[in-house]
Amino acid sequence: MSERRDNHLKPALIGGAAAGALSGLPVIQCLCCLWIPAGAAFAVFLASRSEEPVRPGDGARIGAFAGIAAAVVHSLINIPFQEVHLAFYRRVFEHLSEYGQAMPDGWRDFFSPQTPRGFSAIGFLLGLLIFATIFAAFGALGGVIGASLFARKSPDVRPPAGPLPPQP
Amino acid sequence: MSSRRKILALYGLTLAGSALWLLAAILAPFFASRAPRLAAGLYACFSPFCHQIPARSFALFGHPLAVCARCTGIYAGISAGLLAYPKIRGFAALRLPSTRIFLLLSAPIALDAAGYWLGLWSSGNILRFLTGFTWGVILPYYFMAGVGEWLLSRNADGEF
Repeated sequence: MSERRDNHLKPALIGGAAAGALSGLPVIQCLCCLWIPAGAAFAVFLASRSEEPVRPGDGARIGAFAGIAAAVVHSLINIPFQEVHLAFYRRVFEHLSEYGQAMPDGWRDFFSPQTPRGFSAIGFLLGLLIFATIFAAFGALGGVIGASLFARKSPDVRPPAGPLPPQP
Repeated sequence: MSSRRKILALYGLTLAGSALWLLAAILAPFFASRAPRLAAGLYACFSPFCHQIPARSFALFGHPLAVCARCTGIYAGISAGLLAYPKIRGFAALRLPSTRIFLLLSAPIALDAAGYWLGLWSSGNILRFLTGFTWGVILPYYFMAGVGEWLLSRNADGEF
């Protein structure tokens, strides 16, 4: 079992790193939430090329790990892009203010490039924790879909209740 | 805890999580004019998952939602699919949807997105929402089957 899990770790890291990098780059976010499930499904595809078939439960596990790897890569990539994202949100909020509704005092200062920010380890870790949780859920979903698409055996999963009936 | 109870717990957590996620996306514009720091946090939380272009998003309280119309449809579809899950699938067995149904429900969103990227058409937000909703409905059936099996196999193998 441990060897089987080791075989799945590398595909999870590759798929997760690819998804995290693609979801973190500001220019190519057009695929919305699909990057993470797609990366997880890719990870399952890589895992399915090994000897053993990938079951839906394996797909969920590989996808969840891929999601966590994606969250780490995404958070690291976001550090140099922080100013780009702030500029984007400044534009969004400027657009919001044009809707005509009154904005609260000080919102411009909050998004101002002059506002001292710097790198906050606590903020980074908190963001990483939040993203890791959400990415893991999206990744698990993508992993199961990947397992159902790339599995070479029956995708039926075991029933949850009760022992097996006695064999004749 | 019995297997059935574990699956029920997974279902409850998934339903609560998806409802909270959808609610957060909808409430972000509510906070935009009242608590900008909280709103900025919510918009930032959704930023890895959506382009958040205001023109392609529904507006509420005079502000766009935290995600685009298509993503709103996907998340609403996931919640709707989960609400229908006990009636359609039940908790007696974990089973994946058929690939044929998955492809059928994925076709509208794939066609709409492909048409947009190829420059053939640009659909409105209502159509984007509907194609996202259609696709989102089937997603929890994969999630429940796969994560449910993972959850049960952890015990069977004596892991963790």
